[in-house]
Amino acid sequence: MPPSVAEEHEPDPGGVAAHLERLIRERVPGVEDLRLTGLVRISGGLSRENWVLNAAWRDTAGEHDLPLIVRRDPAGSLLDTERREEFAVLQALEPTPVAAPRALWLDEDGAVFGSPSLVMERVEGVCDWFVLNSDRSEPVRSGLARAFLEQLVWIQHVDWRAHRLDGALKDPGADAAVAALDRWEGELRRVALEPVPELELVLRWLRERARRSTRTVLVHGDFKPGNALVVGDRISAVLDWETAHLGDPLEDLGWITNPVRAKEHQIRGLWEREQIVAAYTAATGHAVDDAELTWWNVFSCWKLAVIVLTGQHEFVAGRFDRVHHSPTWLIRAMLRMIEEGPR
Amino acid sequence: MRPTVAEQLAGTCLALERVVSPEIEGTPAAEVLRGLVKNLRMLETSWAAILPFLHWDVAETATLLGRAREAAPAPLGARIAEALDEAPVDPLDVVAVDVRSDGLRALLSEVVVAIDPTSPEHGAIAAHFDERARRYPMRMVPDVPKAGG
Repeated sequence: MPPSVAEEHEPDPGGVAAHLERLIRERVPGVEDLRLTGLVRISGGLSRENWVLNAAWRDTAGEHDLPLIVRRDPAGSLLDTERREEFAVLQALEPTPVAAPRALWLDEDGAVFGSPSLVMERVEGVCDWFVLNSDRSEPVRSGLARAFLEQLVWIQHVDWRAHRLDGALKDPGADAAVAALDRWEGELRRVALEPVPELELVLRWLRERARRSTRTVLVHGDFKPGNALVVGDRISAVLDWETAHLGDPLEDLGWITNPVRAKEHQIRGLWEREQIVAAYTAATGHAVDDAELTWWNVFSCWKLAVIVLTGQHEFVAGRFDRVHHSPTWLIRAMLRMIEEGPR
Repeated sequence: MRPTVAEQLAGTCLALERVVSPEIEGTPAAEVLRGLVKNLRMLETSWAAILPFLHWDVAETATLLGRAREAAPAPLGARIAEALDEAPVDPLDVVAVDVRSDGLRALLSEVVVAIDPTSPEHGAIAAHFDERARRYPMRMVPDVPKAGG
């Protein structure tokens, strides 16, 4: 059957539509009358090429008409992550209350798309990094803040053993904090273009205070409104699962209570560290040790600093098109938290 | 020297914004261009501060290393002494000063994990890191992607 890729696309020099057609024909038995329309490359993801389009076809199960998003690894990216792991996580989340997009197909080694790619069903919604401090009414913003935390609690509630996620993700057990440090120290050694003694000082502080985890949960790894879609006053999707892993429950909580990114995660006087922790404890039944949470706050900044250095490394190597400088704002925040200690 | 470095950077930004940007508006390339122009604008005002900053940082780092030398393990202390005895580099050669800075900061990376973290020497280093971060001349907050579906 000749290719039936539709014409209603913007220029497609990467041949994404043709690649997707091939993938669908390979993965879906008995595809007929396949039509791909409305291909557009969109911005938004800092570490992946994102393309949206619609796919319609007929097969033995009937007629299909799906809005899709294709996420393809670029030559350079901020994060070196495994598509296979992300795909496994998304599949595991499908039967859960977590608002994750449905993952349809994986091109793990890039045999079809040229580089590893993931095809997901596109979810309706708007992405706004600062939705909690937007011009929406206070009740709506407060409701969204609680809805974000509810999503986080649902993520931690995922029975990863039952979904066999430990087959795709490594279970660090009680050593989750040390495992997280090891993973990101490896990245630091790989990407640092110059000595950064500030990060060595903080790394030592973190290693000397790393605690053992009491339980292991699914961790999103970059949980923020900037990685979510909102429709009205509800969250329609939590996106970007590329850094999801098994780890300590305070890791994501440390990310959202991190003072450096309060404008994204918190609402002054209404939804700050104290309220977030109280709501988390009420929802999970797990008390939060303040010193331990501060450890994860510092780790969040340190990890983010390493990601910034990865951006520098890739930019200098000519594989990334955004300039990153010394993460001075993170260095100051970490030093301040270390000096002040737990609140 | 006209156009000055700042004038050349400013002119480049203007051309990119007036000529190139309208041609690619609405495409992912426009977002990339905005980030690059923002960075050039930052360099326009900060490039002249880089050499003075490096001189200040090298001098402060050398002082801190000198103070920490006795508290460091002997082999590291010996390498610190050796580094501090090196002949000064051409103060107008920004590349040479930058290399010197890297050498001293590499030693400082070892010092901060070797000496007592409660010692005054360690505290002085942490205080310098904070001050250095405050004075760092090249800083730019990348734009957050616009809200969209």
